[in-house]
Amino acid sequence: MDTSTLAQPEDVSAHGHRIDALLELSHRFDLILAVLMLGVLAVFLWHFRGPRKVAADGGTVRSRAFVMVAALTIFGVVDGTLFARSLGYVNEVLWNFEVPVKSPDTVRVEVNARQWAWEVRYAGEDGRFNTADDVLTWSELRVPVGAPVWVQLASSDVVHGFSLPNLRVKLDAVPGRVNQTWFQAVREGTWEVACYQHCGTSHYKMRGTLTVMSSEAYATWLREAGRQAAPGYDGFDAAAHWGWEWRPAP
Amino acid sequence: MKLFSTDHKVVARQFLWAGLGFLLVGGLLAMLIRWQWAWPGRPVPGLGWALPNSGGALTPPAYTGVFTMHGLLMVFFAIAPLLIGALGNFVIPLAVGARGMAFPWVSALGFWVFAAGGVLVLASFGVRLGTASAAWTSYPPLSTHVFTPGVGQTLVMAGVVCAALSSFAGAVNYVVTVVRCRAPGMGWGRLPLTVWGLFLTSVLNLLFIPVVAAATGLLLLDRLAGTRFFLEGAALAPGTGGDPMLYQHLFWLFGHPEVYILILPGWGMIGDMVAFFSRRPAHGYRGTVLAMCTISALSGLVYAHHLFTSGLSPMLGRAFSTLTLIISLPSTVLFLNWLATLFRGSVRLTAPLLAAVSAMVVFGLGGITGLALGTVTTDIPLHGTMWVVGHFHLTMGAASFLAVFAGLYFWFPKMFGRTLHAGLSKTHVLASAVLFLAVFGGQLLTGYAGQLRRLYDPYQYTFLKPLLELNQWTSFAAFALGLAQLLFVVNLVWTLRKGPAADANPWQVGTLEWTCAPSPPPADNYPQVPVVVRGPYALSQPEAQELLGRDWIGQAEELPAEAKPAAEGGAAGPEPVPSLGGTS
Amino acid sequence: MTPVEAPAPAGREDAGTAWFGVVVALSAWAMFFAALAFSVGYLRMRDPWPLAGMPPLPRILPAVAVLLLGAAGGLLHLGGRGARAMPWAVGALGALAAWLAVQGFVLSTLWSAGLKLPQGGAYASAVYGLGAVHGAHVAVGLVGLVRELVRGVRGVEVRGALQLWALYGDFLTVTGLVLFAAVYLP
Repeated sequence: MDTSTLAQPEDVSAHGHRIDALLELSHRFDLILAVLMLGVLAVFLWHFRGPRKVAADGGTVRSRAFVMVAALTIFGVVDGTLFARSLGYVNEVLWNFEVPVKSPDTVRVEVNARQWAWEVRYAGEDGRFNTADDVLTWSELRVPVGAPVWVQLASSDVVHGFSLPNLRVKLDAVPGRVNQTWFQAVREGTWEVACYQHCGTSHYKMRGTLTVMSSEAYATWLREAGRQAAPGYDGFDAAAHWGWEWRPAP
Repeated sequence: MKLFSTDHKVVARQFLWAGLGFLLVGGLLAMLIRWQWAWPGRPVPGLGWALPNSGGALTPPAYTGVFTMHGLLMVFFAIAPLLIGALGNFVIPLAVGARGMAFPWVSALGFWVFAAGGVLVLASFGVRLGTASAAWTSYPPLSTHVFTPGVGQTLVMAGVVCAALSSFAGAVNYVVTVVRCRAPGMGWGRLPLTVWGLFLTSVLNLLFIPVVAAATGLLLLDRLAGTRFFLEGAALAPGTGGDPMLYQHLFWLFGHPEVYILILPGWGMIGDMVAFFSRRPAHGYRGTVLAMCTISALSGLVYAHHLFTSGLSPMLGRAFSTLTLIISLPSTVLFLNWLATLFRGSVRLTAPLLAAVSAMVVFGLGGITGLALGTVTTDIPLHGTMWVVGHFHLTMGAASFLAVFAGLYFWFPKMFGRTLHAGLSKTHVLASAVLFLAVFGGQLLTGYAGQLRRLYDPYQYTFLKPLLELNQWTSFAAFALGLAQLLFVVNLVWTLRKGPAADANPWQVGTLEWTCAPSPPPADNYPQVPVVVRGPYALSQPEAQELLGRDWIGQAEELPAEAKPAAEGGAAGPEPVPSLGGTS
Repeated sequence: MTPVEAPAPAGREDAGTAWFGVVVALSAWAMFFAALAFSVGYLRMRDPWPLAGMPPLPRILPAVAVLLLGAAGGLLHLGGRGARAMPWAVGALGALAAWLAVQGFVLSTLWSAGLKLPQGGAYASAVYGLGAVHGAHVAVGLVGLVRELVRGVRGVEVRGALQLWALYGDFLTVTGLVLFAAVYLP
């Protein structure tokens, strides 16, 4: 079995390496703790087996103190490190929308999750969502490389889970609310969009493609798609007007 | 056996058989999931009668029912009735020195409400549109009548409410029995850790079962009565719907304490077993009790770590992450106290000890995989993947399962008056533990590689195609795990028919059920109500060696030198019920 | 040492244990109503009530209903202490029946005023759904009291049972108050 299959999905995001590094660290902690735990247990079971003289106390002051100190040390080192470094990422990236808000290159997309596909909406030339010139795609998210992509996500039916495994993005799509996230791809290529929240019989088929293109290719595509959108617009198709006015950052 | 018996020991056996039956059904459903991931779409041998349209292959709708019911049955109808219903009902009155539960008819009622729930869920398999299929968490709107029509989901929700009410009734009984019915001299500090575990589980059940009853009840109202607590979406005029997130908050407010409910009795049993079979007192008894109480208190405060990706506000996200990590401190104290008990003990590798130690191992390993889930940053790539599944299967599935067997192998002689075959028991425990690690380890690996949960065919995703081989190996391990359970079944059937009679105290420990009651005990438990004079871990005490020539003293046993003058001429008594040799 | 002929350990069949058990069970089951109140609060934070175009909720009659529950509980407590328990129990039964009448009137008036399911959304769901759930609990109390009255008429000593039902009456009152605050108050 090829052990590279046991690796995480390839990371092509600008900041995902911080997540991966922290996950690596947690694995190292896990390994050390596991070896210690199993090792000590095995030694004790072996060394203290069978009839022998027994320490008949329920713990001395020293032994109980040892347990507390050991517990606090393990807790402080392992949990403390993981927590502190996690805070860095969430405060600077995950919950910090300064980059997509301020950057002039930001691409804004509205995503509507449905049973069982992802509808993606681009604002079109007028820059406003839910208008006649919006570009709509089905399960196809196209973004330019390097630019921040600001996603606002909703659902028309049940709870879905929007995931871009190669960009370390996960966000619930909940009917009745608009959740937000953002990402930045650093390489061109084609990757996948996945659904991680059970949403019905064809949950397993909610696969989409994420295509990261050069800025020129993206601009060309958007222009052409916009040109085709206007004549295709159907004012009576209420279900297609699921878009919303762009929400401010949370 | 009288069916509506109010004898807690009979109710315990009823829960035992029912729980084992549902464990079998839940286990078979798991095998179906493993089959599907190893050989997607291939007909399952022998299943043609259930799935005639596909020739016995799992279809996507059938698959959604399979994984949903696997989870629901295991949580509500297998682990809880075995660990809490069976072992709790049996042990509590005996261990505290009572003649029965505080409210014996509540014991019986609890079982029959549970049984009614079981009938409802089993019936759901036979209805036209199939059984419940919205995952064990039943998130709306998927679980409402709009997206999961048909009576199957409704029947199962009603069945879950029955199981919940049964747990609630049992919890009232356990709490009142421990508080009010302890034998004279049985102070709180002399209770075996098993009783503490069951008591704290009952407190949590009392607090949080009503919350799941509310969540499920509101969901049933949405399904049946036209309410809109959780329904929202494009079909409704904006502002008139409810909020699907409300259900998630209510559910996890119950759901997280539930995982502690399903492990606390196990922790108590591990604490007792490592003491009994190291022939020394439990190390840090007070610290262990305090740790278990702390975890219980924190259990409701960490629930939203299940909601990190749901658009939770950053403030809540940070708060819940902090609290979640804090819970690992008392858990570490527990584990270290168990290790410290083994240290400088005289370890007897009996089946219950091996089960307890295996439970420690799977719980310890599973617990540390939870660290990455409790930290928001590392939760992102792991949320909704098989890593989560591996984590909770190790900590909740394997650990609780092994704890059930620790308890069952330990109390079997007292419950049935017979002795199980030691070799088969130990082999069963060790095989199960190793195979649990193989199966759930395989899940952790696929989850790290990105495999998402609840996928009928994971290989629809290009990035998951390479995981087929790993999934196949994991499935082989799972089938082996299933087969290994035959060791227990054979042992059980053979022993009940022809096994050797058990002594009153084959393990040679001091708790009341072993020292003051025969195996099995009579209807009112004790020939005389014991008077307790010491704690449950009076093992390897020097006085016992000198005065009694053995390494254990009963909790209600007076040492000869302490015999009161008024009882002159009386022997050192109450005579511990004689035990010869005992099982190894 | 001769085994002490201890009396049956404190608890199994005595009144103190029964009382303790009822208190534990009812206090814990109050969490059910706490969860319901939490749900209502959660929903009201999203969309304030009443929703546009929907009738507002009355306050006086629902408050009277809660008072009736309090009266039922109070009467049962008095009955448990007084010389003859039965008349008080009958009074409590009347109070509960009156509660059903009042709440039924409130809900049916709201329905005819236009607050219906499913169009009324979460607002109507809370009013009718929680009303029905609490009403079911009141109905349990009603049935229980009828049972005790029947037993009492047959000569069984029901004072102890009525004292426990008094606790149930308190439970109904407290949960009624909580739901009143959550649903009916602005």
